[in-house]
Amino acid sequence: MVDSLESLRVQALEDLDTASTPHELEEWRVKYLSRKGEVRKASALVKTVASEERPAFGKSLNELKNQLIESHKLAEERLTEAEFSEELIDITMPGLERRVGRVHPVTQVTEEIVSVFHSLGFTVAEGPEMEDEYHNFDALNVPPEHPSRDDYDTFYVGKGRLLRSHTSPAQIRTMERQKPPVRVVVPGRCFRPDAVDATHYYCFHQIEGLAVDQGVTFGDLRATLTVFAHGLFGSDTKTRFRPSFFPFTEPSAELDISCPFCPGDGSRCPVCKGAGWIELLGCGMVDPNVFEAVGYDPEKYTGWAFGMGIERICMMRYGINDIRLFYGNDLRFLEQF
Amino acid sequence: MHVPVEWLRDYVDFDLEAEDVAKELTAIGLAVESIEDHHLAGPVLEIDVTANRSDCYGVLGLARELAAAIGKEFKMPDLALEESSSKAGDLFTIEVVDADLCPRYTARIVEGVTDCPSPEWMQKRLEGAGLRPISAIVDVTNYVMLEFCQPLHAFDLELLKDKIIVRRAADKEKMTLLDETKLEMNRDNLVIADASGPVALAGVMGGLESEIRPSTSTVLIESAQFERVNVRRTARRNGKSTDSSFRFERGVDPIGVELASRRAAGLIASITGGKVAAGLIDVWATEWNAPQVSMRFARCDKLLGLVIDPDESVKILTGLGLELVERDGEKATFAVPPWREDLTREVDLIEEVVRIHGYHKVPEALTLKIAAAGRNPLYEFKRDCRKMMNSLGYDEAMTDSFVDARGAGKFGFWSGGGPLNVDNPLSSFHNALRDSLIPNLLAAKKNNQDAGADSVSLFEAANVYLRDAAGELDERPVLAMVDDRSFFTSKGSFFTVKGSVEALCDRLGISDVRYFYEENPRDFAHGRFLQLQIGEDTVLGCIGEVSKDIVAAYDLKAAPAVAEIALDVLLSARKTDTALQKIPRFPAVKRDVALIVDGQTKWSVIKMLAKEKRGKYAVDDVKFVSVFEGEPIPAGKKSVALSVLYRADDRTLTDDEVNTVHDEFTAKLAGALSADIRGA
Repeated sequence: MVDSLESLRVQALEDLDTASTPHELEEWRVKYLSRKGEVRKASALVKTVASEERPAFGKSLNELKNQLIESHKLAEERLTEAEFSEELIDITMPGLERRVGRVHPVTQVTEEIVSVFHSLGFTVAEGPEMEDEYHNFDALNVPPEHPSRDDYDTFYVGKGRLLRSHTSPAQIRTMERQKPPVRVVVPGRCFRPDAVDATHYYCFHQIEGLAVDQGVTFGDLRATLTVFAHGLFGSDTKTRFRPSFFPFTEPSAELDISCPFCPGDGSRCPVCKGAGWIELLGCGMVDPNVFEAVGYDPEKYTGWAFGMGIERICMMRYGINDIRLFYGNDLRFLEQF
Repeated sequence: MHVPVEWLRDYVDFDLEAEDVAKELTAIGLAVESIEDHHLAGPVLEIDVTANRSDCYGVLGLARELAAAIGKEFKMPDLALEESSSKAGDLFTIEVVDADLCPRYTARIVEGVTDCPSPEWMQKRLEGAGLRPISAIVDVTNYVMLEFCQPLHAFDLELLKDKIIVRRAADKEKMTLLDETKLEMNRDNLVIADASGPVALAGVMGGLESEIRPSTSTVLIESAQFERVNVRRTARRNGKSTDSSFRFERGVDPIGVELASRRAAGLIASITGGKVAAGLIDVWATEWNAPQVSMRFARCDKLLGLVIDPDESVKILTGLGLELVERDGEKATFAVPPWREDLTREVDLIEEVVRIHGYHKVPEALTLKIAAAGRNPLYEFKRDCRKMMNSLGYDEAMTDSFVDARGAGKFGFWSGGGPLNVDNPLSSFHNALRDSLIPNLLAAKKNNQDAGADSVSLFEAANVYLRDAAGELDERPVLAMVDDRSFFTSKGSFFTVKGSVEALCDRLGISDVRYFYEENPRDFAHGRFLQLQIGEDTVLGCIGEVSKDIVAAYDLKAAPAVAEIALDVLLSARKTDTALQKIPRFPAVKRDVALIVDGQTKWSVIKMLAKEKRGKYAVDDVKFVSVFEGEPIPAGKKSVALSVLYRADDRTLTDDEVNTVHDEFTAKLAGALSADIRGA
């Protein structure tokens, strides 16, 4: 009997070894361990065993059954692993090469600024890059043949048209199209025939803002710009307001911010040169002449406006020392943002 | 404007160091850019004077500002004049012919002058201000110009023939300036002339012939007001921008004209030992009356968001030289002094009040009400397009708006007119505005190629500048891309770009994109150009591989593919209907077929026939799967595989049902194409 059990054991284990798929393993289990399997059949042989040998037989049978169950379990685990690791791969190789592109740094900074103002309720407005004298100068209270025009030399493209020297004409157009209140932020490309060098390029981007309503004040301008400065540079940023002049605002001001780029390790800051403050933007209360030009009653409405250069802010933030890099589009530059 | 700090002490009493003076001036709007320690003049402030403050190009103007800032009194220099018994009016005559260009002309005469070096204190101040001392007579004119912001000119009276005539030049009249430039003038130029001809270009520069010489003994001091636009034009057209023309352009004080004359005469006399002839020769067309401007106190407070004591406002304005005319509880009226032409309206006075009161005192008081920002569909769309292009692997480029009109690459697709010319370009390489983004993107590709970049995929979303059908100027927002990635090795980048455009249209839910193969503009490779349309007649843009000529012209290593599509058209075509489409209840079954067709057969033909021949339950368009040429496909033929989806609305189709329909379809399609079914 033992021999039969032994030969059953040997046969079962040999068969188990040849099972190489989960399907074959299941066939083996059915053959040996199921209700109609060989182990069950072997237990029927107990009748052929002498009674004093039955306990020993029973014990051997149990051992056999347990061993086969155990071996089945191990075989099952082995095959499950094998199922997944059929083909050996080198998982240390790099993955499928794909690229997510980037947005240009000027666009990135523009979007950040737009986003802060958007959160304050400012709608984005855009205007044409090819403008006329009226919108670029006259409506903005910049008289013809006046020294204040010197700061706004322009490219001309025939038929009294020019390339706008600031995004302010778009503010005029916005006010022509709608009645107050107005709350817009105006990004866009501008042009000045400046000789090209590390800080000047004939093509550049500005972003301006305009808020007009009843009861808008100078104090409101200051407060809103401080909120903006905190939004863009961090809530520790301090602001400083000082008088200036622009033809289209009165009173006019410049806003400085505490330099957010100072290294803080004692070395001289390359951006503020140790002054601790940097010029951020120009602003002011909209000049009544501008309201007259667009048909707003300056007795009823007041407003403020501001403007800043995007490349300049980008250069300060990223330590870019040559404006020409923005227009060279060298991937070694673009990929750093 | 450079001013030695020490000079200011003549007019204002202050105890401050240069740095503090700088702080005070900056705080009221005269930004001090730098403080230089001049070896002769001591600390010199470099002040950025804004375009509205012509008076601040004079030391007196700056001193007035400092006095207002620190609350001290301003003192004018001593203008007492000792005059001789000689009468200026007897010695010389002034005739002003064109008074519209010269509202006021004055002359004083100093006799018995012996020119000599000017005193050290004057030389130091001139040096500090950036002028070179020459000799007393000329130095005094420069000194007083800087002091009063009133340009003066000194003539040697003996060299002037008969009288001075202030007139327009005759057409083509000539003169030689004291820097030896020879000029040919026209009627737009105002000259100071004597009986023999021009002796000075009015307001700009004196002539060579009447210049002060060492032997000069009688000086005529000209102090005048010249019409500013004319001075500006004259200076520019003759390329002569001088300290004098600079100040006339900005406008001089019509009363100060006389005061400066007196000051100069007094200084010349005392320094050179001369005697001032009695009287002022004065040709003055109009009398000056102080304009009056009022300011309402409540309006001031309301605009600023800050309450300022009316007494303080009045004190500030009178401290700046305005004269109080009348005042009540609500407003004050002032007479504006002649050196403050920029103060004409109430808001100008409000600015004066707040800047002296102190901008740092303006509170941060938010009054804007909370409101949601409005939408700007095109702006948001451009943002979305950038992100989509990024996810397709493109980096955003920003290129110049200018192109060289003669340059390689006529990619202008939107209008036939060619690039718009710039009247005053900075260089001949930037003489026109781009009518396509492609040329500058190709240049960017070339830059990157030179830098050793393996692969360049760039896009730009920006404006192109056009002339529309009516000849009017127009600009359009377009999206362009350049790509050299290649996924079908021998077929270049055409399909990469086509795939990008298709991905965009697909993502935007634009279904009715049509392709036209007819045109082949010369800048694209033969047979590798597509024009895109939405529906029947709306041009969307184009896709193409650039021609060999373009590759050579831009010195590229291989031909990239490019595309340019109109963003406004894309935006209009975008699917906006957001109602949920019913999701099919029963699953679809996919079936493939591979057809061996003639090598010249176009996919568009196969697709169109497939649509015609498709059977029951077929849904959506057939999908392109693959194309294969070479063994074992016979030469001159190719195997095109496509897949079809079948689905019923009311039940799951059985394999048999699908097979029957599909087999019928493939047979019909193969027949229509005279093709064999591969694997059949």
